[in-house]
Amino acid sequence: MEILRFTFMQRALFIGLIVGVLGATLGVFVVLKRLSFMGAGISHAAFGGIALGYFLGWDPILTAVIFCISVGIGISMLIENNRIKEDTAVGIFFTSTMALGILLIGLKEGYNIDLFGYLFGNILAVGREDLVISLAIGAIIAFSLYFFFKELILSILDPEMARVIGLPVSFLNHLLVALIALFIVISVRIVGIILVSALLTIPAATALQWSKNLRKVLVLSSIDSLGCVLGGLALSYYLDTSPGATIVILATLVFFTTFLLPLPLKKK
Amino acid sequence: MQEPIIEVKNVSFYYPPLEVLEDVNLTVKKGEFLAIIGPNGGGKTTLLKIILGLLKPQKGEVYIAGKRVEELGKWRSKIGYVPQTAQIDYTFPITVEEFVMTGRFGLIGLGKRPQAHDWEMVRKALREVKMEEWSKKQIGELSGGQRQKILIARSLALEPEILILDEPTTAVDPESSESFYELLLRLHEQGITIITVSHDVGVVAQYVDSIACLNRRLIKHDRPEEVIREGVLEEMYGREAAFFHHGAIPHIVVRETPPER
Ligand SMILES: Nc1ncnc2c1ncn2[C@@H]1O[C@H](COP(=O)(O)OP(=O)(O)OP(=O)(O)O)[C@@H](O)[C@H]1O
Ligand SMILES: [Mg+2]
Repeated sequence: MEILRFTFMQRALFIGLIVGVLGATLGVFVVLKRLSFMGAGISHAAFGGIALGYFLGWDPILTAVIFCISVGIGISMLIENNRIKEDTAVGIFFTSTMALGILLIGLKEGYNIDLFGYLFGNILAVGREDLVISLAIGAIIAFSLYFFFKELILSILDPEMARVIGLPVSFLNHLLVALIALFIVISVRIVGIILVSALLTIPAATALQWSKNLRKVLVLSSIDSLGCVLGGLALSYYLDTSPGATIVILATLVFFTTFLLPLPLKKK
Repeated sequence: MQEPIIEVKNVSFYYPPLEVLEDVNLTVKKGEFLAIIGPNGGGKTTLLKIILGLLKPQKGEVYIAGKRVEELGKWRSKIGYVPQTAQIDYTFPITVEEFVMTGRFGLIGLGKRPQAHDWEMVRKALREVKMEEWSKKQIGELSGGQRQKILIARSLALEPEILILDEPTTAVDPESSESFYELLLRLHEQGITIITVSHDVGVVAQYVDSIACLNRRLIKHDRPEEVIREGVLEEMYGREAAFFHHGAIPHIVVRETPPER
């Protein structure tokens, strides 16, 4: 395995491992709660967050974490009483945060941000500190999903009943959005802002075609996602293509292959 | 069987400009079996949601077991509820038994998983509604009436102290409906407080302790027979309502023209 000789590749694969499993698991909640577009919206907000970090001279990734969580919870609060429809709220934040990013970058004279790297991913830029951040944030996501598993399930399946039995439904909604924001921030290095929401959507959507059993869906989604992320990274190395784009195309191929398979092969 | 467990005090509720409930007062004693009847749009579902704390009235208060409903906390996990229309995504990858288990999530507590005892209660609830052989099916594979039965099972699975049922038998067949009311009667005998909304006055009148008639305003009758006999129904449903008596059981038929009496 010659690709493992490179430190950047080792690091990318390590993050890929975390991102693959967590994206698949979190993605099942995202798809079931119909938050795919929300995921895309928050990931584009990361652009604003990164630019803000540069502008203020703060760590761009950490600024983006806080920025994305605020935007996510902001959207989730706006739509809470159904005064504004979710796609409208996402549509507004999606564009305005990107506009803010473009504005800030323009204002900062002589900027030298690796814009392209943030937008489309840049595995060469994965540093030691990224490993630590991914591990820490990954642990937070994994713990939250494990700890609130059944509460999240009920709040998605039947929010009214969740409130009747006393679950903190709006906290759970905000939590899910915050987890999406955290996930996006750790995946940006590998797939980039533009494509990151694919990791939250495609493997979960593929797995949901295979099974109607939640546990199986979670396992299948993880296998699919890990295969696509790690496989995509390796392929991109040999084909000399963009890693993020390779991962997403691979996942999409699996999705459509599954989609076209005759029904009796699936849904066991 | 004397202390009040649910107290609705001076509740008014508006969907502006519509006044849905006007100064409603209702006391339900512990162990009481109460039916709420009334015409479509009379405010029955609204009242139940206010009792459950899902809607907040513009005026008045609701107390459950002596606490304001907003501050019920852990006590909430003892309330079973069957909604009239559940907003459930039936494509969700969850089996019937897992679905029924969600009723117990408040009892089980944060960060914990269902134990053997919890599954025992789920199986018992599914047996009560005769749905045990469907337990491994995905919820989307059920018929309308079967879906209503698992909603009922979910409300039973949490070993409720209070059961709040909003037209729980509209979709189920007469035989299942009857065995459901027999089940409610057994639960009633065990001391569970039950509130059920129904349009079938004649049927519920045989089982309940009291009937509340709700059409914006609420009038409670502590003897169900009163409701059937003394022209209460005509007043509530309007003159067009005629009553036919099949043996001991009266039925309501709504007619275009006033009946001869
Ligand atoms: N979300 C809402 N917005 C505005 N008005 C509403 C809303 N929900 C209910 N209403 C109105 O409140 C009134 C009471 O409705 P409710 O659902 O409580 O009636 P109900 O007694 O349960 O009727 P049914 O027998 O048809 O179930 C109705 O006139 C209805 O039009
Ligand atoms: Mg109703």
